[in-house]
Amino acid sequence: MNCFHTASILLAALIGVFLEAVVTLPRDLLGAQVNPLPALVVYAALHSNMATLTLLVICGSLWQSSLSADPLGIALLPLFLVGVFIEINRGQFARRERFVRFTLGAAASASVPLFTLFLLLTIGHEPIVNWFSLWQWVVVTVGGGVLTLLAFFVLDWLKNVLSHNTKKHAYLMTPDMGDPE
Amino acid sequence: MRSLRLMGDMRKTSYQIACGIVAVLALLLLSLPSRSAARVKVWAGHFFLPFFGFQKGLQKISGNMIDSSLPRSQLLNELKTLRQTNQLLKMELTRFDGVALENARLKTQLRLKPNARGQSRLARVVGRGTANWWRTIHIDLGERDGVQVNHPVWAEQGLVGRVLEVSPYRAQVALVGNPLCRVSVKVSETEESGVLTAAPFTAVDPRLVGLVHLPADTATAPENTVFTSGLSEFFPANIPVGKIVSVYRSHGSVETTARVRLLVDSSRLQEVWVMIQPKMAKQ
Repeated sequence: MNCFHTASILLAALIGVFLEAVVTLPRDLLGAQVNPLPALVVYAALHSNMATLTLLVICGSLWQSSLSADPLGIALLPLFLVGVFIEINRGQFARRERFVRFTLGAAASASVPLFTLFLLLTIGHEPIVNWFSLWQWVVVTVGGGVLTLLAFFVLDWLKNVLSHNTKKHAYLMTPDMGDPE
Repeated sequence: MRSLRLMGDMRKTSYQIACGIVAVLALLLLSLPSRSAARVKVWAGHFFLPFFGFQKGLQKISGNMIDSSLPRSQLLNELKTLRQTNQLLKMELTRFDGVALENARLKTQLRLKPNARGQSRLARVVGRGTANWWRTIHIDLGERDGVQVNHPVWAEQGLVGRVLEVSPYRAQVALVGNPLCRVSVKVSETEESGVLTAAPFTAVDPRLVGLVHLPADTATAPENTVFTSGLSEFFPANIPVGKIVSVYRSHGSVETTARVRLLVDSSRLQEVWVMIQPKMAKQ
């Protein structure tokens, strides 16, 4: 694990939140905007350490609330809870399987807005929620799963580019079994 | 064995530290006073400055390319039309200056408070709020351009909303229909007042909002036009807002509610006008 990997995850969060505010195609077509942070939290929980995960959750929620009418840092706790749950159980997930990545991303994207809404209602806000919100929730869930696949693809590629893999250049004493994680 | 236990202990400690930091930070952020929270939001928003700058640059380049590809004859025609419109508007304005003077004189005689007059500035819509449960947009004018919280925002068709948060180079606007932007309005045909607010159907169609607090025996009917009443501290009177779609009278109730279709389609907004007022009361 190196600092470039942490920086690339944080940069992805920054760009993701910016694109969430600027690209309105999902909202115009499907009626809901997909949140990129749960996907990145899933990636960080499976491929990174606790410090990176915590940093991502703090910075991501601050950046997101700076571009929305949400109270400051409202997504902090939901994102962290989801991240810690995946991090604790990371040994039990077949993280190389695309279906597992999609499912984890979709589950994280489904639970974060629920936790956030619960917090919003608890502290006395009145967000616009009705039956159509169920459709938005479905869009956010499926979109989150797809974004997780994309996040794994881009960040794994960046990780390989940015980190120096000594095993690739060393003399091999054993048959090459492929790159270790 | 011992090293495994040591690693387990370290992991446990890292969980405890992370949980502690996040719990304290969450409590601190959620309990911050609104002014401090707005400052932290502005600070966090600074990270997006290069991206918004890049976006503005791209828009400028694409605008220049479109401009250069237009034929000269078309531009000259448009210039001619604009000059004629400008002349007509100037003549209208001269006529209204007399009416405004008379209005001011009458207000002085009746000892009424004069209307605050501000100048409007054109702003470009650069983004939309990230949460699905609020309706906000981001514009490229900020504190450095004189924009303040609660300044009204409008477009050619009608009222858009009010400024919710301001940073030096950007502002967030709560759109009409957002629970954070309630507007006092009147129905032009009946002169009855009410309050525009978000309704459950606003989530399905953002152009549909609820009009509450109409009198029980209201004469308001579908297709009536709704304007700002001027009773609000933030919105000047007589800005068109929407048209009544349907009226719901419930037997025995002291008030009537209505459904209003907004004149402005916020999903297609590219540019808006911010009414910059010299002294704006802050909420």
